[in-house]
Amino acid sequence: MTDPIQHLNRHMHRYRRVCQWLVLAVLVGVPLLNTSGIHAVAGTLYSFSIGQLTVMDPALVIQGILLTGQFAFPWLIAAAVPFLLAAFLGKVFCSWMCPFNLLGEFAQKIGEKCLPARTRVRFTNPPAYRYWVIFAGILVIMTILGVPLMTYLSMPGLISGQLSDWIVQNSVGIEIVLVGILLVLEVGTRSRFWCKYICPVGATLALAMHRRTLRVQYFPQKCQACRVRGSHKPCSNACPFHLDPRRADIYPYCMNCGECVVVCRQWGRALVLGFTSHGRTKIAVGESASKTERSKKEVNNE
Amino acid sequence: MIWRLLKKLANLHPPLRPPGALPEAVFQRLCIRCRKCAQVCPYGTIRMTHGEWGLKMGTPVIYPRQVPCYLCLKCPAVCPTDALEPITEMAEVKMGTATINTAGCLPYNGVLCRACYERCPIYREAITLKEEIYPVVHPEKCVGCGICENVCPTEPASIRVFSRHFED
Repeated sequence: MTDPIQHLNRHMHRYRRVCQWLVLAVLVGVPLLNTSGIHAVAGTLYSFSIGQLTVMDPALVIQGILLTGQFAFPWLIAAAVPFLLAAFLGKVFCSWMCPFNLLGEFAQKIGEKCLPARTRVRFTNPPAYRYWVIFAGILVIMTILGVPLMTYLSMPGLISGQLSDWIVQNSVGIEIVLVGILLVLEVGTRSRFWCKYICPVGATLALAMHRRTLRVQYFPQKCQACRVRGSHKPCSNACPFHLDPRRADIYPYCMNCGECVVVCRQWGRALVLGFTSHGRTKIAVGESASKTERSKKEVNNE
Repeated sequence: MIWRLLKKLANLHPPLRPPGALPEAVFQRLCIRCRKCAQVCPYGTIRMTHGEWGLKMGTPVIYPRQVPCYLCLKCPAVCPTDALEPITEMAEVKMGTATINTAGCLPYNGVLCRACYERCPIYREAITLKEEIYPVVHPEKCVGCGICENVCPTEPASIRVFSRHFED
């Protein structure tokens, strides 16, 4: 029997898809249970409650504080579960649970299959400040206008909310148009721009990440530099955000979906999802040998 | 300036909110549109606004002519942001007030009718009968559940419930 971590790494994609579809099934199942009279579980991806335990999207807690200037202690407890999850595992909510990500991944695939291939795809990691500037901009606009913007920009919330409305009262709101427009744009651009840059839910979860959070580890001495059959960088090609996971600066964009890790298993196994005590190994391709020595030690430790 | 004017226009006739709702302006900021109140409502009273642009998108409202609120008070308990204050007593509910349009109301036009008076959950307090015939609403007792509007036999209803948050 193989090591469970190895097993998970190998079948990451399958497990992730199962998890995504399960979450979608729960989002359909909860309103169905509610309409048949069971109210022990209720809610959407904005806020969910099981019995007395209430879980709330941390982005909406920030929204509540900014819009009302007040703070309620129950919000802290409600936001703790997703926040701690992100502190340990990074933005796995986005990659393993969010229904918009599931639709977005399919939209991207449709775009890649049906539209003519783009002549030039850039696999560069955008600077981290861009992510935070957009997030800060959303927060500032929200505070100035006094509008619950996070609620309307939260795609998982909109999708789960409309699903609930459709089942509970047989109608859907016009917010669903926004989801549709974004999906069409995802098919057209194939860039996953919403999840990558804009989504405030993911940005709030990225706030929780720190040095010891689960990260994509890169071991350059194993890297084959993948130039077989003219295709290079299978890891970047597999990445839904077209990041280059061989570099350290994929955060805060990376959502730990593990697609690059799964692909890299067919080559050099240079990419592994894991925890380290001192952050990610900060070695890019072709850097000095002394740093490579350090990462070799890490391999031995594992 | 224009934004404020638009906001004022949008809030001119605030819809009837579920029991315990805060004043309209605060409510729109605090409500995260999580749908839990509609999900736990056993009568299908609470509807999410659909087909409406603006800040009312996806917020809970009650259309009493379709289904009134039966004051079971399950919804305030599940609200995660207390946009619906966690009230437990029927008398604490102040959603709106009923107003009678005497031009259409049957007793005021010579036909005996006690529909609203008899169905009112604040029985003999919120609606009383003047001279044993004419229904009269007492706003300080009325909770705004809308059962009277729901049972009114005239079309359109001669007793209607409006939100209390008119000037917020």
